[in-house]
Amino acid sequence: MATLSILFDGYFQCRLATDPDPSNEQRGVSGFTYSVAGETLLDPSIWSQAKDIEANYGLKDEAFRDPLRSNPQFDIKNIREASPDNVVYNTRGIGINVSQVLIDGENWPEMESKLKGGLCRFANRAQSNGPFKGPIFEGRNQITSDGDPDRFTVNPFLFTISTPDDSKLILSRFDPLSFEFPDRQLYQVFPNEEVDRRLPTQRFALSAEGLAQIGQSTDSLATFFQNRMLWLQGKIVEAQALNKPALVEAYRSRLYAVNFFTQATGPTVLANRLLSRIPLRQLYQHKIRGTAAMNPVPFMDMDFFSPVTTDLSKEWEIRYYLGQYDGDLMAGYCSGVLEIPVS
Amino acid sequence: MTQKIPKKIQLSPKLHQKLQSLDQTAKDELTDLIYDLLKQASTTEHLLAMQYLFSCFTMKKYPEEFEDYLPDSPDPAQQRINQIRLAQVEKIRRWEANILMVSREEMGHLCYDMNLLAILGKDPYLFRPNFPVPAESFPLSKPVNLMPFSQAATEIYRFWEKPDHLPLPDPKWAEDLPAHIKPLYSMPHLDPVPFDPDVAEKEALDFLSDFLEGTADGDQLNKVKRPLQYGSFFNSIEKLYTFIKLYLLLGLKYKILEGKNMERIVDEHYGFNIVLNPLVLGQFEGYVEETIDQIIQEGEGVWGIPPTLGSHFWVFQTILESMAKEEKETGLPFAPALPVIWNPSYVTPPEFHLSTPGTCTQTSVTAPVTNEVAIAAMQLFNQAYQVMIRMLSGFFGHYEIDQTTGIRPPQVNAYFQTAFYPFMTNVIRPLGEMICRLPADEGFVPNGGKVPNRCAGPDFLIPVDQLNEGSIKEMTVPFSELQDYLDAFEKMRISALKLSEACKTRGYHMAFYQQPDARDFDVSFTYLAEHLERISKNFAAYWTGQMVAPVSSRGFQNYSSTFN
Repeated sequence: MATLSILFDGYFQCRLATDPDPSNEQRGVSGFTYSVAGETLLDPSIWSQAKDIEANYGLKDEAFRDPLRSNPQFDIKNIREASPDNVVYNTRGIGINVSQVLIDGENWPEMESKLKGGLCRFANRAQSNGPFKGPIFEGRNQITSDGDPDRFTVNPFLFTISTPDDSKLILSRFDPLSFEFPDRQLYQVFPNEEVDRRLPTQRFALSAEGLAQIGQSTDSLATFFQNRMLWLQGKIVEAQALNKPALVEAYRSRLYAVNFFTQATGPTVLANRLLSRIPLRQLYQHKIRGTAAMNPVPFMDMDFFSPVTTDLSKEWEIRYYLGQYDGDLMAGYCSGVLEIPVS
Repeated sequence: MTQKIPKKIQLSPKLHQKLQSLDQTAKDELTDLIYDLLKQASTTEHLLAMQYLFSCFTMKKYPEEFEDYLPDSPDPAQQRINQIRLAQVEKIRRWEANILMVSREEMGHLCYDMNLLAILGKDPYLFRPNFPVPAESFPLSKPVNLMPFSQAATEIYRFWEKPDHLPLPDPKWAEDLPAHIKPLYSMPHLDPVPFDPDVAEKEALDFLSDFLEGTADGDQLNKVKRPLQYGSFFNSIEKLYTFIKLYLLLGLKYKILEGKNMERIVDEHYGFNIVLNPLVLGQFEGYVEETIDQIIQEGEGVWGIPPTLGSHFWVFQTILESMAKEEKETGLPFAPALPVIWNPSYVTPPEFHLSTPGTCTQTSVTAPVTNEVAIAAMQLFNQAYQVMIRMLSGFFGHYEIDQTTGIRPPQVNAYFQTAFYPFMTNVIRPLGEMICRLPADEGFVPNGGKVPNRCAGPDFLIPVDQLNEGSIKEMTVPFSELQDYLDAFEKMRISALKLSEACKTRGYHMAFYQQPDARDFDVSFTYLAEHLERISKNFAAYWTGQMVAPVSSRGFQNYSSTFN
């Protein structure tokens, strides 16, 4: 038995309401995440690919387009641009992709050449996810989680990979929170012990590696949101010059939220709520256990992965970091590895 | 934070001697006097917090809540209007964020008052009279109404938070104050008098001398001790807190008060601005001074010093300035709030409302809500609010925490994990916002999500005779049995589900319901029912000690840095 390892990384988007806003808040008022003019309502769905966001929400209306944007991806509704010091984000945009393929820890160049750039998704499973379009981070204001990032899990958990051109799904597997009741939503899973295996196993509050992945360092943190605010002030002036009053106020609201939640002298509960999430990343590590009795059934395209094959009754293992969540962009960074026993 | 070193209080030799030689009866009477003052302070903070919340619930959030917003119109003139409305909901959101922060700080002040009650050895006090509250009974000499956000409401809020010396017009004459509310402004509008702490302190000491000698004027004493029955003695919050601070400090200095219940001092993070050192044993005097100074500082400035730019006063002043520009700059009428009625009410037994101090009569200034769905939602809101008050009473009355492990006793933990988050944030607030989007009138005919001409609003009703201390206590003490809480949660869950169905059946929609991902009345009430189902399970598990947090903590060690 050998192990096929598929490594992946990239930015995801999650436009969830944040405490102390109600978890059902769709505009954002007292939390640090806002849906601003020109964007759709807040929704806790996790989006792994920009093209999925575009397919669901389309492009920005003309009144909210920025002719000076650095990347065409920022024409897609809900995807925000960052200040120019965020080169990695502004260049890559939203998208988690395969970066490397290994077999028993050794490079497998033939497979990597076919699979590198493949689209990885935390996909949805509607029957265990209420009204949402994608899997969600769900806290319900401390009903199912206490608001600390280390108490959140991606749920429902359905991990998929497609070919780089996204024409073909090549693997997919669901992991139920409750093995006995796979269709239960998170709030229905009680007591909590069943959730534990899907929570972070390690927390890195000041992760140099995580910062490096997004092109930042501990030195750049001090000015991270100062740069953002200065840039937003510039965007306000530009939008005024373009006579786009709603866009002006959209930028002002972003500026307000960043300013309010990074106040060094503000109430203790608010201070650094935005900044603290930039260097933070957490490691998740769990089996993916879905069986043929659960929809969707485990799937791996044996032709694509030939000559290796796998027994789909055997569990897969996944380790992934989630972190570097930027409350202004409502995007975070994910990197990890999926391990599949093959023969 | 190091507690302040208390200021030296200069007493007359006679008062000094009197305070040194009080017998137990006199000590108890002085303790009761301070208790009555703290009840008035708690009532004031509670009223302000709820009043601000109500206004926030009424604020427009979605462009569709402006009647002239017509998305997808190809007409350039209409597109300009759309752009203006989209811009305005951004401004309104930022105003609301600021007012919610003010409301949370008032709740923090209420928490401080509970801590001062603990030092005094008294139970928490979480009653407040129902809205509207007569001007005579409120220590700012103006009535307290449930008001939709408006210029009039903001002018009144600015008045609440103004430094005493600042001349402001009587909010009674605010342009958009409804005519039927004006008679409630029954007290003369006083000329501004700079707050002089020395004068207030002398007045407090003179009153104390008379009180201890038994020569206090009967009317004055009644007004100090029973403002709901006799009208308030105070016309300034600074003055009220000057009395409280002075009496507490003297009580502690002269060992009239022992300083009790150190373990009940709450400083936990649950969304409020708690920055005081909880380790008050032996430092009660410094704690009292620091607490009261913070309450005043966040409001109208400390003892005559002008308010800071982050103060409540400046929040409202800035909103007023910004609001005044809108119509001029856009050329469009600007109504930043939904048409929510003032002082909404679905039930008005005479004893539930004060009309003048000491008199409970059915008031003509509540606006009746007749819509059955709105009434059911208001009743659900009030059930939630009343259970929350009981939980807060239990929390503040029995609070303790192991300062080393951070573990609370199970029942205290049940209250802590339920009353703030999620009850305030995920039950009270979304419910309040939904009620303000429901029609007030039974005759309302739904029209594709169009905002009703008159919207309902939560009335924060505490259904009790406002002057019956026994009934008030019964209504605000914690339940002693777990099952009582579970029954209440279940009743609310069923109500939420019925409301979901009722909205579907009647075709009620929120104005934004056609936006992608919009969670309309039916989805949101169902979501609320789900919360209540799980809250009930969690609460029972906390109460019995089977659970300490929503999910297990792995006890991750965080770096001790600014990033945590």
